[in-house]
Amino acid sequence: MGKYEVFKNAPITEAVLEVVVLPSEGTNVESLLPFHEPIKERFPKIEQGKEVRGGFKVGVGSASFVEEKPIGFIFRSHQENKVIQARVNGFAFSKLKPYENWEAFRSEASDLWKLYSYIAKPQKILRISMRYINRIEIPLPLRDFAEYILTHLQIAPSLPQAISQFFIRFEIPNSEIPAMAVIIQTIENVTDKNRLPLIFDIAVLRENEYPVDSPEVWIDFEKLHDFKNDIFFSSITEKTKELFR
Amino acid sequence: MNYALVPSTKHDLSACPAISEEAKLLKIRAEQLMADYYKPLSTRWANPAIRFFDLKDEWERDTAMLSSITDIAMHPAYQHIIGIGPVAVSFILYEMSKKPNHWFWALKSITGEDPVPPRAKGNIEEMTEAWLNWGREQRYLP
Repeated sequence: MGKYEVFKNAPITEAVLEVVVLPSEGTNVESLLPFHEPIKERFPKIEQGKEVRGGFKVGVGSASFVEEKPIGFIFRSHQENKVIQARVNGFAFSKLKPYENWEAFRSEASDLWKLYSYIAKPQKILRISMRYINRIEIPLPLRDFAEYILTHLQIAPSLPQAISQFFIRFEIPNSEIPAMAVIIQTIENVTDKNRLPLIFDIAVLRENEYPVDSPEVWIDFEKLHDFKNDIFFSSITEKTKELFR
Repeated sequence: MNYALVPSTKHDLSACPAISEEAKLLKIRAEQLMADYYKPLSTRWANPAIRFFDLKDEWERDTAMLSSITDIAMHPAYQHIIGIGPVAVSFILYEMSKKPNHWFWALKSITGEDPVPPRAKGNIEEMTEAWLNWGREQRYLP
């Protein structure tokens, strides 16, 4: 058994593993299309991936400086619960719920990455990252967030403790790997079952140059996964774990 | 507060490109947050893109009925755009690509360049095309 409990009803709504690369000279969107051939049985749905960039304008009127640029392809599985983003500058694999376990996710991501790197032939890897978005449905009434989550927003005790919405984002560096965690929390509207959905989004990333076929990449992914787990499991309480069992 | 604040080592910390409904919600909330952040003038004008488009709107509105190129280019908002400096070049070129206008003076002032061939002088479409080609060569435009 691993260091941390594997839950029957894990709150993970999406797990993403991403590798950002320096593309080879001449790599373009069309040159990524052969990536689809060997996976089209499993990922039959294909669409173009686009990047929207530009400045935005606040106030009357809509965005003033927006442009769309094709950057790759998005491939979806039959049930659309697995999605690959093959871009000129990288590769990402998403697994939507239900999430099974890290070993299965990593294994599939690793196979798909090998295929991507064979087709795209990038010069080197620039960044690796993974992101886990959790949706924790907290039963109401709730007296204190700390009953369920220990990494949370704190309001001065002299102020009213009722809040209707929040969105917080913070970064936690880890000098040992070294890596950075980007954590976001927000709440959704109360559900029909009188539960408050807390979105707990944990992304961990390491900016480092690796050769494309370096086994060190997957060693570092393990470290990032441990870092992500440390953040998640240190942030939840026994009461929260009960929700997932 | 019982935690220490340490400087971020990197500026680009955009996380993995997630696609779930929860990821979309987070994106919308983050955009709302940015919109709220940029509402006060103090923060609004710290962003060169917003500053540029505010000034451009003012310039277009005030000079719509003017025919003198000198009056058009001497408008305070136009001069302010020149004052933004090199950051404004990509915004100006983007505007030119959508709608030709008298941006030539500003571009020449900021960049010190003049890619317009003598035969095209005075022809707003050809002058615009010459600047857009220059912008592509200099990688200001895709």
